[in-house]
Amino acid sequence: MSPSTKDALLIALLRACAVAAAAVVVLIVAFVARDSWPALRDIGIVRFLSDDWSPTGADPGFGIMPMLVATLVTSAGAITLATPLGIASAVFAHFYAPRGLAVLLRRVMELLAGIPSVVYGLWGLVVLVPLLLRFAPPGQSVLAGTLVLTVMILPTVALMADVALAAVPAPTLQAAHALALPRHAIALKVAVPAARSGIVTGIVLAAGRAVGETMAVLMVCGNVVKLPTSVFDPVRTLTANIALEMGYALADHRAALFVSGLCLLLMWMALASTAGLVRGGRHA
Amino acid sequence: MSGKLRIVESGRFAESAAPGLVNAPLAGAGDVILQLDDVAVSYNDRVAVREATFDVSLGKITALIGPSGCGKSSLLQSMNRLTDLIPGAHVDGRIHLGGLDVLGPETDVLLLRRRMGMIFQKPNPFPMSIRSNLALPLREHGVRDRHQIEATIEASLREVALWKEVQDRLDSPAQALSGGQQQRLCIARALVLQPEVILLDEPCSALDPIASGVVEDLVSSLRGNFSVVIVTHNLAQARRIADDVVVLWACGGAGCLAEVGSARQIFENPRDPITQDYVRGYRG
Amino acid sequence: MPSALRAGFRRGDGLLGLVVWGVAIATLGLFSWVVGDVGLRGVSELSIAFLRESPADAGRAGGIAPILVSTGLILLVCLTAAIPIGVGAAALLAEFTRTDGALGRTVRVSLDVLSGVPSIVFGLFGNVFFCVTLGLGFSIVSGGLTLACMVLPLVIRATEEGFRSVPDEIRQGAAALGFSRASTFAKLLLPAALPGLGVGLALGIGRALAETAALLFTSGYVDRMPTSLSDSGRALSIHIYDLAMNVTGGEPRACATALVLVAVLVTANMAAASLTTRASSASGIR
Repeated sequence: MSPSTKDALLIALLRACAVAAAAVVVLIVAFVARDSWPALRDIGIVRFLSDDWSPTGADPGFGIMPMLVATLVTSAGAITLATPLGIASAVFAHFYAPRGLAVLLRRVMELLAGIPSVVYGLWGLVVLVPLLLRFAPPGQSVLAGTLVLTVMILPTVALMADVALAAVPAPTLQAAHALALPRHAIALKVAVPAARSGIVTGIVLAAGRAVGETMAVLMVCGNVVKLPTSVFDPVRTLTANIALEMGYALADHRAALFVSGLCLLLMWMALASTAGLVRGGRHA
Repeated sequence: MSGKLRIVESGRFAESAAPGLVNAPLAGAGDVILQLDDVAVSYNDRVAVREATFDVSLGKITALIGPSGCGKSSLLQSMNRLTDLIPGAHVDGRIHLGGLDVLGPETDVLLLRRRMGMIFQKPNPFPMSIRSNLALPLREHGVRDRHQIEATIEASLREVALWKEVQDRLDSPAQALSGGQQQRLCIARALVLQPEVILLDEPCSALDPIASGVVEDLVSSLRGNFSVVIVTHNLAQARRIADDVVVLWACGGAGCLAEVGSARQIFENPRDPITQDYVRGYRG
Repeated sequence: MPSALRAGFRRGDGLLGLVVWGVAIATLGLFSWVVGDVGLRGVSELSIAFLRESPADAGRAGGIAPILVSTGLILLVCLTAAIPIGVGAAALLAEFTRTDGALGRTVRVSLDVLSGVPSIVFGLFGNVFFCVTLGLGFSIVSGGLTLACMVLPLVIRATEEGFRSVPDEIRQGAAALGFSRASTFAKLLLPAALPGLGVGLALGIGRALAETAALLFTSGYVDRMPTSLSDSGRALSIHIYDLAMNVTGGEPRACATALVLVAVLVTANMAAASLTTRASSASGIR
């Protein structure tokens, strides 16, 4: 085989791999959409938003609003808590910590990022919920879910902020030092704004993780399908709903679960395009 | 805390002593703003500059000249203790700014750097608007009154001849300016804090010839109101603007002082043979 | 020009210092709390027998041996599928397309989106595509292939980094010697990019092991020792979930299983870290 034939074959093979890899997400959207279609067609979007959720009753209702709200509230709460904590952690590592401690903190963050969600859920269930139970029954609640999600996405925000701060050019910091700016001003008024785009990407990715999280919220939120009126109410998120009911759902019920899956997919894609806009051509 | 803040106001300086200072350190305490005695800079075990002794005269432009690699930048950075930022950097000897012991462990480094502005080789404006670049140092040093900030910003921009060019776009990004404009902005940013001494590290070498000329004229105009130390490897530039000259040379892998004197003496009547060859262009 | 500059500008430093030190201590404390608390509750159940026996009494007794085997098999299927495609795609992106070309950009965007798809949606997809459409049913294969889709972006990104860290001088030298691109790739670039692949592998293993939701409807719940890849099998993460939520009194065993899982993950994490350092120092970049 001549070298040029070998080259052509190799490139063709590699192209096939790349196309296959790119096709996965397309397949996901296609199949999830396909299996949600019957529900969308027969039940209609309006009912998805206005019904109760009682898919197995005599007069089935497929309203996902309470669960959508639960997802949004827990995720928004987690982002609100994790963002300042994550940025503070990164600022600490870059401007306040002795070198050894900064490295340790980074390693700990990486480990925290790798802990499975089911282990966080387990911790939430056996440690956090009993704690909350003592102050505000029933323990399993929006608050528990928000707190567990915060702990889960904190490493994402912290690690991305850390990378973004490290990328602030040294001359920028030199100028700040030469201007006798105090440390807190260099960190908060020069470095963090300069690292803005990386930090925001981290926040968006963390939001994606929060919205898409299943196991941890399943285990600590209480799984009651009801619009929450306080942070101590038990709720069920969209993700937990799919996980709990998919095992026995049939026909329309199953299709309705796929609709909520499609909903989650669209939420992530909306977040992803925001991140893409912020990040620009990072790979290039 | 040693060292009081001395506010220098424009036009306050009278003409200093006899034109053309001779090579005489400590020649009349009132004339000297910055004294270096046996100052040596090393990084871990590598010596960058061997013991150097010279004075910087009040209201004059002192040029540090010599081929690259003689530690001119290291010497400059030791003056405002920017060397503190470099891990492993060590400065020996004594440096006095007025009555202040620069290298003393008790010295407040931030107050020291308030009195000395520094301009770097490659312009490094903060990634913010032009206005913010100038307002940030003011605000961080306690100026709160908006009108005063605006007035100071305008005054500094006028001093660097940038006002007319940017007055309509003060909120546009500073990094969108041309190289020469950015460097003038950096000078304005340093001036905003009303330093007594301005340290410039080859401020023109990253600029095109026209911008370089504009910046050089600007530096020259600082004479009288400020004391200027400028590192340059451009002999012609030193000839044009320097009042006093310090010649550094490479001695066995480190920089060392070859000769100190007035510009006229160094360029027309150098005593050291190395200096003779260097200023005549036979070496370096 | 009058001046109001004064020396009292450092008040904020102490405040921020306090805050960030507090956050750092809280973070380290949190890590210790989560791992420690769960660990303490489960450590009493750990033993060699725990790792060698099958579960009994719905998992309240016995061990996790079949689950370890199932987990290993799922991982094997996952990596067998993800690595060839991942390396191939990474090679194309790094070596054989222009960074701003249409194919390159499409693949990258697609992978970026893929990397954030919620795991439950992967579970739905795996169920529809692998279990139903391809007829693989609830099986280790279905689970492994679903996880392969999940880890693909990680493997590709890390391997691509591995390729990119190979200095251009090597490619130029090979070209000057008349090597075909295929030979350069197979004999020089691929071996040099192996540490990057190693990192991707370790990260992928970490992600795959941590997965629960994607396996719920693909590899199933069966906790018997699997006899073939088409058997349903229970992964470690599923076992933890089952013991915690569906089995009363299952918490101690759940915690013990969690300890095992975290231990394996920490090992994978350390492997990734050391391979990363080796990769960057080998190519001279630091």
